[in-house]
This record gives sequence, structure tokens and C-alpha cells, in this order.
Amino acid sequence: MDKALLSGSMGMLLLKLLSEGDKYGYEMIEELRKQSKNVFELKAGTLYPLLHGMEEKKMLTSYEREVLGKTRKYYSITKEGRRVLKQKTEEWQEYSEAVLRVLALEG
Amino acid sequence: MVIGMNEYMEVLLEQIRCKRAWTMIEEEIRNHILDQAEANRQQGMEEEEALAEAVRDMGDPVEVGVALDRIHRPQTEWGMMALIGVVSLFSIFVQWMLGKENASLGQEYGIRHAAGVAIGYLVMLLVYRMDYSNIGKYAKRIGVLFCVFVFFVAGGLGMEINGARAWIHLGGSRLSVIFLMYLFIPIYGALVYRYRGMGWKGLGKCFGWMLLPILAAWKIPCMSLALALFLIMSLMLSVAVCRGWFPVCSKKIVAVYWILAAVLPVCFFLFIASIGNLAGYQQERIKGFLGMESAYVDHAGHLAVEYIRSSRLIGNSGKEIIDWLPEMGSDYILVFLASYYGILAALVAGVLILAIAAKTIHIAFGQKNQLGMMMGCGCGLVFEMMTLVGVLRNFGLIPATQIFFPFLSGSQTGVIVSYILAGIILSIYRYRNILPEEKTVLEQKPFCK
Repeated sequence: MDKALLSGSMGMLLLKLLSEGDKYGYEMIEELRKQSKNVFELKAGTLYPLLHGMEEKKMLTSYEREVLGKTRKYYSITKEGRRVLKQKTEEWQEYSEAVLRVLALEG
Repeated sequence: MVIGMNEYMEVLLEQIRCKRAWTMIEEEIRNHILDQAEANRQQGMEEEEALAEAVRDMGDPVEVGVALDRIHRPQTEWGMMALIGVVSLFSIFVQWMLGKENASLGQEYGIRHAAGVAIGYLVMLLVYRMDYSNIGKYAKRIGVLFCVFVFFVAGGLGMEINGARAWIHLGGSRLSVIFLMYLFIPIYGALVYRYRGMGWKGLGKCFGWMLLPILAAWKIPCMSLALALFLIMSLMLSVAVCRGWFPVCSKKIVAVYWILAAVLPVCFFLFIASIGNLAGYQQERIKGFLGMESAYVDHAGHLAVEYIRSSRLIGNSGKEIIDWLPEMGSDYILVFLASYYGILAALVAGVLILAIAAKTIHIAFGQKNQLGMMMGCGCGLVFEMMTLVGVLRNFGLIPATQIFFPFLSGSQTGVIVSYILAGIILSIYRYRNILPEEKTVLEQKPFCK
């Protein structure tokens, strides 16, 4: 899939994943791959700057938890994150509906 | 080209200019690579191949490092710095005018205050550049040294004024140890942080550390300082308990604590008074404040109220007050402002200081790093407490007490203490995306819901 198409919406997808429960980085990549049926193969190198940036903007918070002897950094969505998610989802729906309408005309 | 995990991390971290952030980032990325390598192994890859594939999956280390560098760099809270700058200029103007109006102080007073503010601002910038987490690292040692110093001053090293041995000479200045004691508050925040996760034992230690500066204040003696320190530290401890730092506690414990906090000091005070361990002037002050027959008359308090009442909303009240009130430049600065420039000027001063206090609390509670949160919370509470007590005193609602309006008072020690506390909060903000959280296993059960 074209990267440019994805880049703007990746934050929204991560917020959506985290709205269903706290997750750590690796878990998010796996979940995204599964739910998108292998369409979204997010590089870890793209994921962490995104997560850290969203944390700085107070959309996420993080905490460490020890699981099976490993320290994992979990991310959790905040109230601000849920607000942004709602706004981005509405924008995305409006955009995708418009695209579909135009494509239907062409069809 | 295939590069190993260590090499990948080295290239990535080299892009991040702030080395203090390296530990936090490195741990997370390394764990991710190892998770991915483990998954690759489970899919049948050889160990070496699995790791190399996991590293390749990470993407370009330079690109990732540059992106992380944009986030993890020291930050400046320009809004807070500007606000403090405005208050500083306001303070210089007010004290300059006070020196001009009051012949016994003279313009030299205004110049001395301006120099104090300039030094204070520089000290604030120095503290802001320093890593506040060092206070956390050496909190116990700093705390002990601090209290021992106060005990020495109160025990005979200091100069005695009005029955309190709390002043020391440094260079050409006279410093008030009473005001310096407020610097213990961020140290206490760091101490509470150190004991988190330790249950009742930790809570007991926090309480023990609380007693040390209170006893030092008692030794001076300065009851208002002891009470202010007790209230601020109790509030900090309550925040810690409510955030689940001490898993033995619940909301009820906080409620019980505050009931005891209200009752016990009164009982203790009555006990001390009953065995005649209070100085004569202290007994008379208390009687006077309680409306009992007393030799003590709060002249300053009565005059302050009178001058506030005769003030106009804007402009001079026309009443000569300078020679009547002692400590006009520090304790009664609002009275001066209200009398000479109107109630509105006093209101502006109060709002400016409260804005700094509110901003401090806001920065503190916005911190991910819990050490920074607790230390910042303490700094904000000092500003809030001093302003509140100052306003109450200026309106004659509480007895005479040792106060300074943060940034505004003419007290040299008050000025320095204000700027040091501001420097600490700016340092906390500066390192907010850099310092890793110290690992403490806290129980996940929410205790104060």
C-alpha cells in the first residue's frame, strides 16, 4: 500500500488499537497486521517516534510492567487521545465517503 | 548491508543529542528487537538470522534516531519564564516606588531589591539548567544536612530577633532561615518518591521525615513555619497516597489522617501551653487572637485592615501609611499597593502570583516522571500557601506571622527562595521527555477510587 496514504492515518489507527486496551509496541504492530489482514506492515522504526510524539501531546501515557521476567513499556490512551480519535475518525469517514462517491461516479 | 543489534542501537542513539534520554529509548527499542527475534525464531528461523531480520524490520536507524531526537530534547517553558519575568519587573517597580515614598528606606532600598531580583533570576536560570533528579538521588543526605544546619542556627549560630533565632549574615545580607526552610519542600517530595511502593514502612518513613523540619521550626521557634510545613507536606503525602504510591492505604486512611492532622497539633499545642513551655509573647499573641484578655495588641494587623478599608478601587487613598506599618515591603505589600495605587493594583499583584502558583501545579501534574510531579507539586504548594497566608494577613484575618509574597516581597531570602523553587519547576519541565521513570513495582489495585 502507498505509504503516503497511510502516514496521516497511522496515529488514528494506533489510538483505535489502544482504545481497546493497553498495549506495548510489538503487540501493536502484530495486532495492526492481524486486524488489517496483513495490509498494514508498520515498521517499528516508524511506530516509536509516533508513540513518543503522541505521548508528548498527552494523547497517550505509558508505564512499565514486568511480564514473564521482561519489562515491557505499555501505552494507554488518555481522555485527550479519545477526543482526538473521535475527531480523526469523523474526518476520515467524511473523506472516505467522498472518495467512494467520486469513484462510484467514475465506475 | 546487515548490521547487528548493538550497531543499530549505536547509530540510532548517536542521532539523539540529549544523552540523558538514551537509557529510556534504548531499553524500549532493544526489547522490541528481542521480541521480534523471538517471534522469528518461533517461525523457524535460526537464532542469528532471526535477530538480523528483527533488526532489518526496525527500519533506518538514522531516520528513527532523528525522529526521536525531535521529541526527546530539553524543553523550555517560555510561558512560565515570561510570566516570572513580568512579575519580576512588577516587583522591581513596586519596591522602587515604596523606597521612593518612604524616606526612611530611600532609593537605595529599591536598587538593592532590583539587584536581588536580578541575582534571583540568574539563580533560577542556573537551577533550571541543572538536572533536578540529582536532588532525588541525594535527597536523604541533602535533607539531613539541611535540617542539621537549621538546628545549628536555632541552637545558637543564628541571630535572635523577636525571640526567634533564625537569621544569619552572609556577605552584606541577612538571610532568614525561616524562609530558607521552604526549600526543604522539594527535597521532601524527592524523599516521598524514594519510599513509594514500600507500604506502611514507607509511609512511616515519610512521616518521620516530615517531623524533622517541623522540629527544626519548633527549635527556632517559629510556630507558623512549623504549621505551614506540616500542611504542605501533608498535602504532598495525601497526593502520593491517592496516586497509589503506598499500597496499604485507602481513601479512608487519607480522611483519618486529615482528621488527626487537625486534632493532634491542637492537642499538642494545648499541652505545651499548659506546661508553660511557650514564650510569654507567644501566649499573649494566642490569647489576643482568640479574643481573650491579652497584653498583645495586633497594631499592624488592625492598621492593615484600616488602610485596606480606606483604599479606593483605583488611585491613592490619600492616607500616609509608610511610617506606621513595619515590613511594608514584604508582609504588607498588598496594603501598600491598595493604599497607593488602589485595590485593583493589589488584585493584579495577587492574580500574578497565583498565576505562577497555578502554572507550577499544572506543570507538576502534567509530568510523567513521578519524581518531578511530586517535587513540582511541593514548589507549587509553597507559592499557594505563601500567597494565601499573605492575603489573609493583609486583611487582618490571621495573627502576625513570618511570610513572603513569592517574587514580590522585599525580603532578600524570600526573593531567592522564590526563584530557586521556580528554577526547580523549570528544570522539571526541561527534562520531561528525557528522564526515565525509576522502576518501582506498584500494586495495580486502585486505592482511592
